[in-house]
Amino acid sequence: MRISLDWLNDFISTDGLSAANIADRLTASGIEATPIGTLIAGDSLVIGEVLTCEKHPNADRLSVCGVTTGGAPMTIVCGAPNVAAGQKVVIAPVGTELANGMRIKRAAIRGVTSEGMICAEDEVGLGDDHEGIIVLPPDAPTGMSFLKYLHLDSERLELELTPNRPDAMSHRGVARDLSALFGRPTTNPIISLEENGRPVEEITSVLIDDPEGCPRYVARVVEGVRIGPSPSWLAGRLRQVGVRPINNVVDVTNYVLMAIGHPLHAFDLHRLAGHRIVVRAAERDERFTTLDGTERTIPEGSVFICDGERPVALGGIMGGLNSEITDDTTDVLLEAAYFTPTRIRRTAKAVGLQTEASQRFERGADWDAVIEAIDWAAALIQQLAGGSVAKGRIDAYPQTLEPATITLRWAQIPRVLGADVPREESKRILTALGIPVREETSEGLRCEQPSWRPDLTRGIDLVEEIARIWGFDQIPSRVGGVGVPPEEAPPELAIVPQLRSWCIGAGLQEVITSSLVAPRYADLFCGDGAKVEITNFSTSDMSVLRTHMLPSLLDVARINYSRKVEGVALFELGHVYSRKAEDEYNQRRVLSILLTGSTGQVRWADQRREWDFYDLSGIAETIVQRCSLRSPEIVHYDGDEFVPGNGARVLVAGKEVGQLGQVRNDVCELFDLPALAYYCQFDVIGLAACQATLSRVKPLPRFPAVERDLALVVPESVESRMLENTIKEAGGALLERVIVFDVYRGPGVSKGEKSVAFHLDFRAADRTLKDEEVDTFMRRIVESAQGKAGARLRE
Amino acid sequence: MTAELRDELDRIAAQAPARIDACASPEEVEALRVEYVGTKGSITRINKLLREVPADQRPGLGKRVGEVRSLVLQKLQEAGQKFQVEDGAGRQRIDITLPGRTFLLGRRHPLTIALDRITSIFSDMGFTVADGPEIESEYYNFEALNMPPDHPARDMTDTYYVAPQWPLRSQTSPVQVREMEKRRPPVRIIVPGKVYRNEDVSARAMNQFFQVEGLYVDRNVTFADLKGTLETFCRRFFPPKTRVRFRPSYFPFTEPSTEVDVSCILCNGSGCRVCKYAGWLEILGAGMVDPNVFGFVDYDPEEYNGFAFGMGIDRTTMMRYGVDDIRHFWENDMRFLSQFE
Repeated sequence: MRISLDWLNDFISTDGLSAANIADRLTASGIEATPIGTLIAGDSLVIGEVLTCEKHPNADRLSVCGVTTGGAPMTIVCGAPNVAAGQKVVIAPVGTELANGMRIKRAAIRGVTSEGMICAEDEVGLGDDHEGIIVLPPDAPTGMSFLKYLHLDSERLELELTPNRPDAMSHRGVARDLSALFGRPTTNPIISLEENGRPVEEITSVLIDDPEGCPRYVARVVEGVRIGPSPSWLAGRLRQVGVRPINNVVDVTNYVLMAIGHPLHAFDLHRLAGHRIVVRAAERDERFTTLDGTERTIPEGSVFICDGERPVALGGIMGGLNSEITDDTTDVLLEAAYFTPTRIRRTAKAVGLQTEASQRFERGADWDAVIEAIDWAAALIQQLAGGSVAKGRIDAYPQTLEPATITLRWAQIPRVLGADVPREESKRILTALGIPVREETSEGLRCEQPSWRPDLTRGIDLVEEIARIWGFDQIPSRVGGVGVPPEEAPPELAIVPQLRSWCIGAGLQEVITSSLVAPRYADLFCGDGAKVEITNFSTSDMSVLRTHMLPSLLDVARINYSRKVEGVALFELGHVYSRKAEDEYNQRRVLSILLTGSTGQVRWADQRREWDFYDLSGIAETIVQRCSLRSPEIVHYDGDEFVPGNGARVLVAGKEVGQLGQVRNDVCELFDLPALAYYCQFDVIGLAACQATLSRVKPLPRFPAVERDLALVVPESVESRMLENTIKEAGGALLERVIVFDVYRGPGVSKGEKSVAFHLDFRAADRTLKDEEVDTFMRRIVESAQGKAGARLRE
Repeated sequence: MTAELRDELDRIAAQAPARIDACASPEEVEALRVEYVGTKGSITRINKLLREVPADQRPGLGKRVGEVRSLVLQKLQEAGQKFQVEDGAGRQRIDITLPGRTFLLGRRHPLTIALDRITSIFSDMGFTVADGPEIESEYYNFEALNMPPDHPARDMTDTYYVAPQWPLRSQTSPVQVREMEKRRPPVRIIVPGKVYRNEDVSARAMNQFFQVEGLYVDRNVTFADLKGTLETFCRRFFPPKTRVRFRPSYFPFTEPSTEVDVSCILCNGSGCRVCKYAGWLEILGAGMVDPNVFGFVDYDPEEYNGFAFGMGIDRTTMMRYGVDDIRHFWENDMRFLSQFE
């Protein structure tokens, strides 16, 4: 919202205060304010008179004018077709900077030196018109500043208001805060209204059929007005705060609105059937054309202002085309009403209309300001458009609105703020804000809610008022007043930083991707349940919550490949989402890892190579090992994600904690990946659940180990884990460690077979093992491997 | 025999690198090459002897021979390289300026870096990490935060819905209510998490971002504690000279409410494009927990008081590093990510 300092002065003296002063204090007290200068640039624009106007000797379309701005005449070359001697015009003297940024210079135009410019509307920033120069009325005083003449010379402030402060959406509202801040009194408008018409009851009537939606409706009638343009002081003030002048009657309603904050509406009385007003709730599917010319379906329960037959305004939001003021209007019915905020809000939201009126009514207007607003508007219409004001007003007020009584206990102030505001100061602040103190006791104050402050109903609300005016910077800072030991974070959260650091240690780059994905990505793999779709999305590329992390990571690889960054090794700790049942949603935290392309290392001593399955399973095994202090079991898994035969589940103590494998080629193709991709995912809660901590260290061995190697030739179908388990089982308690150190296919091993070589450490805790003992173990191992896996020793 | 060969290999592996490094001329290196891997070199000899080793020990030993051989060859190659450089005095030295082997160490995402720092500062002040669902009920996202249906503050954000009554949380504040429901005061939590806004994605706006929420409820918690805690945070998180300002504002779930501004981290308050020449950056919202919110979790507002705060980290991170397009955080171009840390 914009306010002008000049207008503000009507309600509080701003003597000695700059726009910056005022903005700073407002900002520091809860109304964010920024000085934005005058509406149009050009302090030096001045009113001049065209004394002479002759055709340019060297150009058909140009005129050479002799112009005065009060001093010696000067010459200006003008290209406008409508310039003529005797006109009052707007002169931009040399040095003026125009709205479009152009600076006026002394210049010779086809041989005639021009000492300035006569301006058109667009050149001063007032409109788009460039058809001709602005011609002012003959009484425009020569030599006067053009901005001052148009009442556009005021400094202005842009305000950013929070939704709890509808009262500050006017000049008077802001003045109230300034009054408390600067200790200056506010003044109210002086209304001189002459009720010189017939009694209003003879002309019209108001019936409220919907008192819940419209508790109060006040009407006045002004007969015999002449519709015309507003005087420049009025138009100027409206323009400065961003309201377009329309005609004297409509402008008056807007003027009162911007001045004291209460929205008004003016009807053409003769266009109201039966010359009467009925307020009712809209029924289903009623259609109505608002005065912006749009026909709308009005939601059931909206507040309709009707005449004797049909709706004529969408209450609290916008008038109707069928009853608006036109150039031919002679008799005006003025409305000042109070509408129930939630009702207005619902309608405004449903029809998508935000107006000056709806913004105030839906936040809570001032229910007592209706009388002042309508009287002032009637007086101004009478003053500017003539006519006679009907005697009296109709005040339909079926539901009296009562202000809240607010109790403020003195003890509450230090209890909340940690600082004690002097009682006199607290009282001063409340009174200056217009909050009447009804009773004072040693315990505290009993105050009355002002009709314009819907946000003040409780003691805490008054504490806030006192604090914001007194100044947050007067409240001390306290550090160290805390001291409760924190609880431990839940394990599934506490493990997250650890998982992250292990992944980083493994050389993986962390990524963060969108949880909202395109439906085609969400449908790629089975999720935990039904996919969750956004009902009010704006782009279908991000309309579903992801069901799986793989498409997100593949997409990162795709983007990087498309930019010639080939090969990525990355991880994300993110959520996947699903709908379990109606009103039951699930989000699951997943650690996901993707390797694709080559290691990307190209320094002289590096070995560049393609990532493979075992890079990934190595990382996965280490993570599980670090987490659970044991090696995971890797078993075959035919998941959707993986090339058949190349997928695996990761189990810890028989419980599945994750999956890994080589990503299906057709999936890679979907993401334009030219290389093989390997993907692994862990359920973070699963990992957290298998977390173990070291309970007791093992003593360091006191006796040497006996090391043996064992190469077993087995059919291709026999997997190493099975051999390893067989060896461990047969090796007995003294077999300390089994490592696969080689897998060999080729000369010496027949086709369909492979040789798997193990390194074995045997150790006893209490003595050095003898070779003969170990030989016995080895024989047992070989026999067992033969029996269980059809293995034979490699010769 | 196996044991002897293995011992010999171990000896070579232990001695060869030092001997090769000690070479003072290319001739010395060549001599060692012959000694180890020449046709009659010691490693070559052991390799030939493999045939005589019992079959069950052959693969293991063979593998070991290969390892030692590679090690020696590698060292010989490096030693050869170093003689390509010679200092003025005729002494030979290695080229220490050749880059070392790549050490693959990953990196955190820039948003994680910010989240981690914030979390750690508040952990130091006694806050514990908590978490909550992103698909949230209207009750937690709005109502229990003192925003009944039709409350104008619901317009402060544009919210995504997955079903009527089921928004994607538009703030991390619902976790305040969930945590208070779980326990009695004192409550001191910090909630880093993702939130959603129904906005068109552009260079300046993303439809999801990260927030950190904080809540401290106990007896005798006041606005002074709020100021002290958040000032401490700002001084640690932002550059040391940063000034902090508390400006009254409005949030439905706090009263009094405040915006916290810091002097612009780029221009230090003198005014620049980033702070829109205001000299201040708005970085978090905070306030004293509204008694109505305590009503929803059955805390007695006469007994307990508390403060809450929330901050978005994406924009702050953008400003901090001069990132001009918020989408960089979500695209994960390695050339962008690899600049952090």
